[in-house]
Amino acid sequence: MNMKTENIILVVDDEDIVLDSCRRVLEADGFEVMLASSAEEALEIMERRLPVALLMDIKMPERDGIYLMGQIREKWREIPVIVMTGYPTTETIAEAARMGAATFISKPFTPDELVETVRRVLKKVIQPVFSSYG
Amino acid sequence: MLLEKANVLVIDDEEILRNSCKKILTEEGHVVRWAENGDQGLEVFKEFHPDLVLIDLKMPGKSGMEVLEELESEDPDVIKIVITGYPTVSSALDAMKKGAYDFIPKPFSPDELVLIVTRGLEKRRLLIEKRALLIGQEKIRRNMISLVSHELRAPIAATVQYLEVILEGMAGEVSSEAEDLIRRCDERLREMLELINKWINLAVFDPIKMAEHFEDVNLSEMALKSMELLKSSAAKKKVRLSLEAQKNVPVIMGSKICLEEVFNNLIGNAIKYNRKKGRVEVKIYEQENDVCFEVNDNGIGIEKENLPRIFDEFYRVDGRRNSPIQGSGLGLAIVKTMVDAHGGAISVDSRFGKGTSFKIRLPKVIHLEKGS
Repeated sequence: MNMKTENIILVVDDEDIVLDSCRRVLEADGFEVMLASSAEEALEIMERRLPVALLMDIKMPERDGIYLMGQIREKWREIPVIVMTGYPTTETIAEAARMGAATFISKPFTPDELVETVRRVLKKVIQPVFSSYG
Repeated sequence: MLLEKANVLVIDDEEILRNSCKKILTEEGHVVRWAENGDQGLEVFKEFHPDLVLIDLKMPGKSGMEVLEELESEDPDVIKIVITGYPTVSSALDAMKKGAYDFIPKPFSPDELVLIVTRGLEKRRLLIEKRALLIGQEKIRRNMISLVSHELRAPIAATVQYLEVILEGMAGEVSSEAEDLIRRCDERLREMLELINKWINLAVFDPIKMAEHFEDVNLSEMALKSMELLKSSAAKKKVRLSLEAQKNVPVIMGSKICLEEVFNNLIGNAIKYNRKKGRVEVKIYEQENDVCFEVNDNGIGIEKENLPRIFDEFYRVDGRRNSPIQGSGLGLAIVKTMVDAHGGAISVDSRFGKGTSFKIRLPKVIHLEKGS
């Protein structure tokens, strides 16, 4: 796997506007961005090409973020997942943490918040102290 | 509409009475089972799931009163009617206090029995309908929360995010006039999001869950923290904030997050609905078994006719959409819900044009001595 040398972020959300805004912000910061509007689509993409990190909504129709997270933990444990949540309650945050999310970001977020969060998570991944991702 | 075919349980040690009740009520179309003592009655109750139980008060072994109490704790919605050969007012009252719906003195005629059972079953029908209605209402409430949270909140949040991207110039250059317009849209949408979040918080608020996280709370410290937070909005309006806290006020048991919300709302309102160079005085003191917290201002006040509705959800004294003072109409509803959940009470006193005073009483922690 070559994820630590590539700069690809996969964004998963059923809301087109969120996908497009994340794409614009992350591309402006030098990332390559892949977009998926469902858990299934995200898994298909990941079978072909692995991102360095994944940004995903927890509430999606049909297969939700928790399902996707479970699949990722099973197949690609080393990829950090940033959970986007519209309504951060202690329950959703705890659930995301239990499932192994690296962190979460509350919607709506500013471009700076998004970039900062992604960078912080990627920095953690390459630090040996956070080797639990690998 | 009556419960036409109901399950009726008769608990009586007299065989003649059991048989006659069974005969009369079966003829009325009901399914009747009987038990000859209290213990047997409780066993049959669990498997038969009756709508109505006739219980003899005087039986050997477990008394009718004891059976009544146990049945009441098993299912308070099952109608219990006591049968007694000693129709005194006090035994009737005792039975009613323990959950009996009605009372029938021995000897009784078939018509009297049918009448009283029919009345009891009518009550049972109403209870079943009420319960179904409550379940239906709860379902509607949950659907509403889900709808507001996902179908309303999510697209607004996504739009706000898009506007931020546009404002950052990530979709091309934005003229200063367009930037101004987009910022106004952004601000308005953020206000809507805040309103939605507040409503969801209130709708999903669970006082039992909150009480699991109760801890010692020092109200004076909390008031200072809130005043610090709101200092800049007070300064903008040149409103003077002051705190008068009695020394060594006892701690109370509460949720810090919820009480912070209470303080921020009340002090925030006192600043918002104030005049320039007005004042807001916060007082904390002990009174009998409570710790009291007052927020007094000399602001615009509330008209008398509006006072009874200020704790209602979405009620705003100035209901105009373009009102100069923005608000969600949920702040005081949240305050009241939180105060109630702490076993406290809130009262308000206001004079239009002169100012408003809110007083909250919260029960202080009582440390029981060993053995007391």
